[in-house]
Amino acid sequence: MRDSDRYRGFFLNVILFALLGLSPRSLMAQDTQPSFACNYNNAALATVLADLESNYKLTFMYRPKDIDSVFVTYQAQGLDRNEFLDGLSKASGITFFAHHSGHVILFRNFKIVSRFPDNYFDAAPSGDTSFVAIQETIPFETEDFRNLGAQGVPDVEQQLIEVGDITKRFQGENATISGYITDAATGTPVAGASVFIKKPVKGVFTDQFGYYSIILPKTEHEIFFSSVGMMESKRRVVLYGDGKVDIELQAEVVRMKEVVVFGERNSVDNLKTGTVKLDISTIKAIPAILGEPDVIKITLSLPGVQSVGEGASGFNVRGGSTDQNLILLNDAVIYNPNHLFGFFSAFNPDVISSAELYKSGIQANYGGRISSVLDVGLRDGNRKKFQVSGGISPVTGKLTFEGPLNDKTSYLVGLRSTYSDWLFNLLQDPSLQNSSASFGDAVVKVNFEPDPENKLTFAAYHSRDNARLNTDSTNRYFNNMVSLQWRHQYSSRLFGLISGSFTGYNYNIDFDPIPENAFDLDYSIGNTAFKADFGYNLGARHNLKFGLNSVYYQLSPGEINPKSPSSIVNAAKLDREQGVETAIYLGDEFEYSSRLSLYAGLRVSGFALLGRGDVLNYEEGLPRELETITDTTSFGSGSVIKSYWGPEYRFSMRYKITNSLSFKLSLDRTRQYIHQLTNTTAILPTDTWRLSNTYIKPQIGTQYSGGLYKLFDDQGIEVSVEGYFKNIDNVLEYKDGANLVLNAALETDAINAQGRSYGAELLVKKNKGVFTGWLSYTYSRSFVRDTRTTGRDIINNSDFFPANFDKPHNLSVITNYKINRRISLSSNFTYSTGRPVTFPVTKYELNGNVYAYFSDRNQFRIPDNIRLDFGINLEGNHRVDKLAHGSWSLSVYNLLGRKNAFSVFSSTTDGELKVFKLSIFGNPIPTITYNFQF
Amino acid sequence: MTWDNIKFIMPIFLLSALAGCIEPFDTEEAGINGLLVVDGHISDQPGPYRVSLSRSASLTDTTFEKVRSAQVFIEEENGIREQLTEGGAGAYFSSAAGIRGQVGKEYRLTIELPSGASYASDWVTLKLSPPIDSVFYIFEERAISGDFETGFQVYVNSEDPTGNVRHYRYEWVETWKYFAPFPAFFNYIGGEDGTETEPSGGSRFCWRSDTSNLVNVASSLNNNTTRVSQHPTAFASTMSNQLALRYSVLVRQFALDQQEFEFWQGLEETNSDNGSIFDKQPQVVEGNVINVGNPSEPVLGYFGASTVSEKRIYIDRQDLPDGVSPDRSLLVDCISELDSVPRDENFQANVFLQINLGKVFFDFYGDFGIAGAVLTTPECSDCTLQGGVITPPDFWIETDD
Repeated sequence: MRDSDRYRGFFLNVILFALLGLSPRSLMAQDTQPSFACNYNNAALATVLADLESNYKLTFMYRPKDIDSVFVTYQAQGLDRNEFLDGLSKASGITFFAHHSGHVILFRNFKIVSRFPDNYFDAAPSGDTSFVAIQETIPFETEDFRNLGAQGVPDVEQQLIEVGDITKRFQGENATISGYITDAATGTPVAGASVFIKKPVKGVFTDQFGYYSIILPKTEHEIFFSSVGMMESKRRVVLYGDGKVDIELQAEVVRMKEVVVFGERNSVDNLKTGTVKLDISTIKAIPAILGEPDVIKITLSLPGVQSVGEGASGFNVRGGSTDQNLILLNDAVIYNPNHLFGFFSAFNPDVISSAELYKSGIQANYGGRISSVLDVGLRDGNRKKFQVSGGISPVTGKLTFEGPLNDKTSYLVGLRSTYSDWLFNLLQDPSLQNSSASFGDAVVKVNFEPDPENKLTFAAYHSRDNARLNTDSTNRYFNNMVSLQWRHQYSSRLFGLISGSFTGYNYNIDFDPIPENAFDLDYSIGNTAFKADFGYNLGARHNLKFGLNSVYYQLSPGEINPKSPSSIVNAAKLDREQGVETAIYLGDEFEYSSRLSLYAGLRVSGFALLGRGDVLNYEEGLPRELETITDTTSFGSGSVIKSYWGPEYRFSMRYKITNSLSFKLSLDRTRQYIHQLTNTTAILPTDTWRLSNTYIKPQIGTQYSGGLYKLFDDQGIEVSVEGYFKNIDNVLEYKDGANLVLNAALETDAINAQGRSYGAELLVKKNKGVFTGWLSYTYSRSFVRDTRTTGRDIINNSDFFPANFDKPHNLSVITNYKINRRISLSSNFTYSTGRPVTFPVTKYELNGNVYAYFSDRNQFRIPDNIRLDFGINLEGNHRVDKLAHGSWSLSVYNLLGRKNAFSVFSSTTDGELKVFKLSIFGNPIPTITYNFQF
Repeated sequence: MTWDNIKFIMPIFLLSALAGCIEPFDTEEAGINGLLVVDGHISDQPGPYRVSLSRSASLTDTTFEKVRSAQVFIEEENGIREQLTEGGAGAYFSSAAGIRGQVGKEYRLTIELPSGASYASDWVTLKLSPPIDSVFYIFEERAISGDFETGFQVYVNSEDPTGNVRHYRYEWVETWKYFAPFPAFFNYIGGEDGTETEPSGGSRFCWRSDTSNLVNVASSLNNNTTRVSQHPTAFASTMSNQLALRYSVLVRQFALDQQEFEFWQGLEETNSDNGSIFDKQPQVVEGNVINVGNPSEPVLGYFGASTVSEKRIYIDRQDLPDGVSPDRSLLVDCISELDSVPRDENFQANVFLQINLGKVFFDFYGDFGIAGAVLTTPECSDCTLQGGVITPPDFWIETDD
């Protein structure tokens, strides 16, 4: 904004609608009416305005560039002010908006305006003008605006906004209102904000660009706009036709870490089952281990989400294995969202805006993984001012820079690094004093908005981990991601989102105890994705989404090389793999009536594994063993080794029994062509991903779910009960002692098994008031079955056995209590049944030592897990204009100090077999974190 | 450690270090006890070969039932079949002049229990274990139960130039010579002037032996040669009296085929669980013996066939680096527990009183004549109380010369 601009500096945080062709009586009708006269012949408008300002009690506000080439010829006499200005407006082609403060605001190129409440100016609006809805953030100069203070900000919330072309008001019953919701302070889009009307209840949410689109009957509405941490806003609208309404929401003055699950406001109305949105403020409010708020760990407090134990990476959604979650960062897939073997998530909490988890009701635009989608959004950089924020916890330091590059571009850079090596120095264990572990991650996001119809987003992400263990082996692993997205608004009904991204994951192990045995082990996967997604509002009742998703995979599934010239380790390398996965989809959200909504979607996905590659052939009818390999078929470069395709149908429906009670059903069929190989209880960073091939078939999930949703609006309490049944075909399971590293004949160790799970989930949430939080209880069972019928190592006789993460009872209670505006208390209580373990059933003596004999898998359980965490958040001085804001968080993990079993295992010492219980975090762990922003 | 069994020890260490703890855990599992356990081996050395039969026990049991009165046979393919005779509880032996293994031939074990159940092992080919290249040792520190331990790590290099053998199993027998700090050269039998003594048996030096009981396998399969290089076996620790004077280890090498290697490796992996969720899932490890009438019955243990290569080395206390000494805690304790009885009118009575209280006469003291007697504890006087015997084993060589 240039200095010469008269409205520089301050943005009025509302949307004003100006009135074109001001009706003479509509302006300042309450003033005593002086008589206006003038005679200008081709005079510069600027001169005219200066004249008028000096002759009459008028103040004009305008952008100089808007009028610098405008000349007027205008004669008038004996007119009142409004008539006079109306004439001047017509003569100049400039829109004059008479503000009730006495300021007259000039706009160029604005076709329209709004109508004030009928008695606002003591005058009726002119009815014969063409109305087109417009929206604009009107920049006021602070000084100019100050005069308004005494009289109050014009209450846009009371103004009746006319949207659409009034001449088309009788064409059709409904029209679309769309627009962007942004944060008034930073100009960044507010994703996941809800836009809704109450009579009848109907709502939508903004997407990651802050865009919304809602179809409403052509009548008067009160539209509400709300988002967590923001003051709710509303607009009165009279809808004539398609139009746009953009909103800037004000942040709540005190940035309280209030626990609110937003987006659930409409859980009764929302069509989706099994979907939860978490805002970053929610995530940050929950006490975290070592002070690192963690998106992924928080999902564990939601119903239907489990993990194998504290500190374990990965999570299991409704009986799905850990590789069945599609984890997206800014819409690009991330393969290993963990740091430090799973202790922390790889997502810096300071740069993410929200996380959304879909457990069922997954619409057709998502695909590639069968159990869930965890969509983590990166927030946009501040568009209005440069800002630095950061935090210090015992484990990490974080720093975030953001700000505008120009008025169309903003950026965000977030850095996080550990200095956790000091932890090792404290350790008593000598073998660890020589160890070290560090991690870090970096995010860059740039937003460019050339005009309201086009938005470009560039995002890049890098994470690294480096662990040197007892000085003889070094593990490193990296995530890399770059993405570019282009969102184009073709019309208020049609938008497109075109994106390209590259994601890479690789790890490397250096092992060098002695030069002769030293080696280097490498793995990498590259994921190049192209997506074209479109949304189209087809009439009032149909909301279509369609598009094309394509991924090109490139894997180096394993390579080992001697690390020193004297090393005798054999170099070995698995063939590179490449494959293409493509899907097209079409989905329709159909509002049959105000009570009944339906969604039907079809996604057709296909996958081709491409050469070069060798396929081992096995003797027909015999189990696949090394001994039954007959020969090898070689495929040339680029030829199709094996392909699969199939339909994925998605269906959901919602029926509203009353306005606050609804019933939903959904059916999800999902297919997955890439699999993570793991036969440890928890996944490791070195667990490799492999593509489907001749023997490893695509995993196919089918989930039926349904639920009841009830809203007690006056208390802000929502209750939902959901149930599901899920079957997974071709889930990967492993033979005893399977070797998954550098295994060229993987099919001799991996088997296509069947998974089955069912469960019931209860969620009670309170979103309003000083006391907020949620309670979630899940009863669920998850089983796996070896589907082979021949072979000598069939697992558990082909019977269903409990999956590693089968923990039937799960209870989480998360509370947040605001003592006052600066202090809040939070707690997190969890209870879960112990996970299944394979346990020795008998012991025996062999060769002078005692050994355990393990029988069927997962037939026993470790003891139940109970934990309470507690946190206090202290906000510093919360004056808005303070230069720097600081806040302190004090948390205690495992306040009760309960020694929860992490695992139970047997070990032979001194010829005796003993059973042990291992607990980690067996004592309360207090942490202090400091965060700042300036 | 080779690349196919890298363990992620770090997370679990970190976990435990952060606040973890390992406690004994009581279980009341309804197990399946009484599985047959077979332990047998045939080599190219003359018999007797030993086959042990026992039964598995519940986790809380302290003893294992031996299987008696079974009919046990070792059979050569297209050859003789010899019944073993029971030579102790559950132990069956072939005769010294009886069946003898030959490299390249196939053997199997058959068992008939008094109950009528009949068991047989797979046919196994007797493999030729190549000679051990070298056994050597390096002074190292290692972590054990959260503490440092220094000592000599004993390593093996081995190679099969023919390329036939890629997998090995190692056993070792450690023998070491140690001493009692205050052995009596004569026993006190009365009197006040030291004349009434009798020569003591003298248990100043002892030799103690331990047989390894950990599974220890190595493979050259992932190496570009058939060599197994610097494979760790025994560890002679300074935290014990193993290096008090002189230590010897006999490393024995067995050749394994793929199946037997997988058996022992499975046993090793499954029983070295450290409670980490980063360990492989425990597995069912069954050997090469089946119940002929009921093949689905789990039978534990293995019947193996291989020649045995051996190599013995000695390590002397003098090999320890400067400033490092073997465990001195016993010596320190013994010094602090020395008692003296002055030579006065009650000398004899006082000495006997001390002896009756459990002390042991060590020696007289006095610069000019006997001023009194020194008594010590039995542990300080008799090295056999620390598990050794006072005669050196036949192979023992006192010096390297």
